[in-house]
Amino acid sequence: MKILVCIDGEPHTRGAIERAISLGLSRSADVTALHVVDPWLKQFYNEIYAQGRRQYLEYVDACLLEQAGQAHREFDGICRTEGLRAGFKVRHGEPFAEILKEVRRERPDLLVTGRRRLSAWGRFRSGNLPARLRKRIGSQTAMLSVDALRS
Amino acid sequence: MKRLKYLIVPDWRRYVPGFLFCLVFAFIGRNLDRLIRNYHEAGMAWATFLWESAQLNYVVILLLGGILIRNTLPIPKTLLPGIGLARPIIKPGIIILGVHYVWADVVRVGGVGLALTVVFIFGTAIVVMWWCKRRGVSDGLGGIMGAGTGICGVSAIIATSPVVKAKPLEMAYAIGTVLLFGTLMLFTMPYIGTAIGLSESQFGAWSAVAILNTAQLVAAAEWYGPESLNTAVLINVARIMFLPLVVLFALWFYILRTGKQEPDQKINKWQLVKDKFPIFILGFFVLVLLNSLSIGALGGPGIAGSPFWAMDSAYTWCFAVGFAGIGLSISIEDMKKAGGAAFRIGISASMVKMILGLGAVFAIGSQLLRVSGS
Repeated sequence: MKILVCIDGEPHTRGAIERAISLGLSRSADVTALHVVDPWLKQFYNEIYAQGRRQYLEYVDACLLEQAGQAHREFDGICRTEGLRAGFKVRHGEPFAEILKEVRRERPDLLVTGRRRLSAWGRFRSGNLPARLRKRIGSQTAMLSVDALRS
Repeated sequence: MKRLKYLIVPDWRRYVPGFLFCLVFAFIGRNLDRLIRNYHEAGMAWATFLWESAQLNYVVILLLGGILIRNTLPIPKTLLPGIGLARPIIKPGIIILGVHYVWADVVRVGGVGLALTVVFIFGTAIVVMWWCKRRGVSDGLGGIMGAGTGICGVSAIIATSPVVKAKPLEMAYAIGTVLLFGTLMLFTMPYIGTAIGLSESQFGAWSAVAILNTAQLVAAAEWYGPESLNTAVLINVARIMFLPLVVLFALWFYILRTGKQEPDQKINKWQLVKDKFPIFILGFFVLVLLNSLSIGALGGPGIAGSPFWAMDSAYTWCFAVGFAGIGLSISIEDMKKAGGAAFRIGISASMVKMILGLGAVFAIGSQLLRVSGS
């Protein structure tokens, strides 16, 4: 069994990581975490009066790299505590498209994502990624959206 | 030849399709503008409605058309780099606009603009940063929202974010908020201005102090009329000159004053000012100087066949291509990133600047804000 868990370093994916790990341990599954580096911020570097473009691009790159590293360290730490050997992948691009590409490429049996409790407005703003993924991943992959842990 | 080669970016080919698309779109927009105006002048009722009541000129056609295309049709990814490249074409247009002014305008309107700029730009930046600090908003978000709502929106956020170490999520919130309110102001302020009878020069000054983002500011002023654009650009040039100072203020407010400087971090303030100074405005002032000297060989914007007349004809094309790029870049998905504390700061700053700015331009009157050009 193959499990793919989407992580972004935000607190709401912590629940998804824990669920994926517990399923991985109980079913002896291969667990892989996917972190998508979203370069959305970089498109604004050539705003009309933008000054210090190179510094901005370098800064954004450094921040995104740090975010990916932090997500990796957090995932690794939980896996080690729970005694699970798991994989970690990084993709670059728009998160929805990249997750779909990864699912189509690796064909996991289960896709696990985090889910925030959002109002209707919040779901509109965030684009409700789990719901959009559920519609598009196809029938070969089951999907599990795990609610954010209460802090 | 070898030197010339280094001036060209190695992956220039990827910018070609989108840029060509913007050129074609700008050509269509400009010609639709002319078509509607011709029918309006010929007395066609529908054209009069579109031209006078709906104020549908090439700016609106390109912006609304671009927004519609971007948000309803699947734009091929190959077009996106070129569309991004088209936006800054407004910049040469602004430099060329220098031929519209003489030094007397710069001193009079620019002087009033400078006063407005100091009050509104520094006022907004300082109040927002101070308020954010008091309310426990993170330094990164407070710094970029202070600069973004104070000066030139996204451009200021880009200049400030590495200095105040804003996080990616904070930058996304701030950019989304500035784009959202800038776009809302672009499509509402010209109608408000018409409804309350603001003169073109007053509207130009109002848009220059109130509209959060530069692209939307230039578009709103051009939409309202040529005098409005002249005033708005001059005040905007005064406004953009303060960008290095606001970044420096953010550095002092968040890093130096609080002792948050990392031990191995060397801060060269002079280098920072140099890096953030918009050099292109020197080109604008060179043209103002040449126009003020009344050099016969250069003519003027009103003298047909002269170099300045040719340049004046070119600026609207620069703007058209830029507006095509702006319209095609305005994505509802981007504006949906607005949220959290950035949204609250954005809505408060926009409303306060709109109301106080309107009061200020009413108090100053039209005459002091009008660009004569001679």
